Amino acid sequence: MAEADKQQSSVLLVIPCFNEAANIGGLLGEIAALPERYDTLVIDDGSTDRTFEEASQRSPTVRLPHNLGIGGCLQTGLIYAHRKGYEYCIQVDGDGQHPPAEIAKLVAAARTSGANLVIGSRFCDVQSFRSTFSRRVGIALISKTLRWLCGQTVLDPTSGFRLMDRSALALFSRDYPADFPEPITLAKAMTRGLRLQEVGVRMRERQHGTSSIGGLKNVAYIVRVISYIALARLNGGRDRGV
Amino acid sequence: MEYRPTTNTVIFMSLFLAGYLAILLRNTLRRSLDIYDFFMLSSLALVPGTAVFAPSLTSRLTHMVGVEFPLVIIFGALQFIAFLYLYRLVVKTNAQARVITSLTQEAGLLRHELDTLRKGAAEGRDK
Repeated sequence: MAEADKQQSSVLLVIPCFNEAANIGGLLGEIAALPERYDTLVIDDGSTDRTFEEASQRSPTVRLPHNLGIGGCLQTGLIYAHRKGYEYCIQVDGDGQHPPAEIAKLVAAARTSGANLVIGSRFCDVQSFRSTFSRRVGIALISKTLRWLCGQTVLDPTSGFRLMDRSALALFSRDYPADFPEPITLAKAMTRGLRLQEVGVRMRERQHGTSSIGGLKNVAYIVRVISYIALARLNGGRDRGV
Repeated sequence: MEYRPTTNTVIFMSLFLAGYLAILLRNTLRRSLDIYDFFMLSSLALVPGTAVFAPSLTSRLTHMVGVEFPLVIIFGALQFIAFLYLYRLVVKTNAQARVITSLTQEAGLLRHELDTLRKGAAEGRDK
């Protein structure tokens, strides 16, 4: 590898994974084939399959000794990005739903607008994969709650495809929700005065495996998320020193 | 209503108090419980014990609170203490969960850092 190639990129792609051995190799291959150069960090959240072996052949990989769930797993990557001084950190799910080709849109949007948090949205001027009807209803409810409590409209509040700049990293590397982090972090960001932007991106369905949320869990998910958003709003006056 | 415990109740309560407090004390001395746990858990014996060994106090309390049976006072006090104890346990458990998450993250990052350094050192030796 040439010395120039070893220099740190300004963008780190954090890829949280749990039992994604079937997906992670292909995803890292796609990232490597991009014309832009990004650093990657896979966080293996205590997988019981060959995720770590598959990922570590192609990317720096942190293996967590125990499963922490998506919040704790992703926060590990945010801590790393913050400590290593990355300008931007982008969450890319290890299940292959976030096409690497769309990453450049998030970076371009952050550089152009100076937004602290850029969300890759399925519902924003791009014809993308749409989830089930019940999920779309849930997403609409969460979106309305955010609008009502925090004063800003986000069309796709559950999207995990998002970019954070240094200000957002400073906040979320020390305070990141353990459960249902995507919509809750939006509420936290809004109440702490971070600037948000949505960018239309194409997304794919999962390439292998199944989602952990479905059926009655959807209802519980929405109730809990809305409660957490309200809590974040109530707590918004504190800890503004971002 | 004046409360008068029977001799059987006093004997049973005495045995329960002695046995239960002895077990708690032994576990506290072995550091399985801290002193706060000891006091909270001992209330399971001390509250009904007070009712049995100080019936006039229980009757006065019953009258003061306005309930008819002393048993209501006993269970009310026990429920309140159990709730306080549960509350403290939940707060402590959440704090421990945060610490465990943080330690797990740091352990993963440290291991990654060490692996990177080892790999760098091995590459340096190869050159």
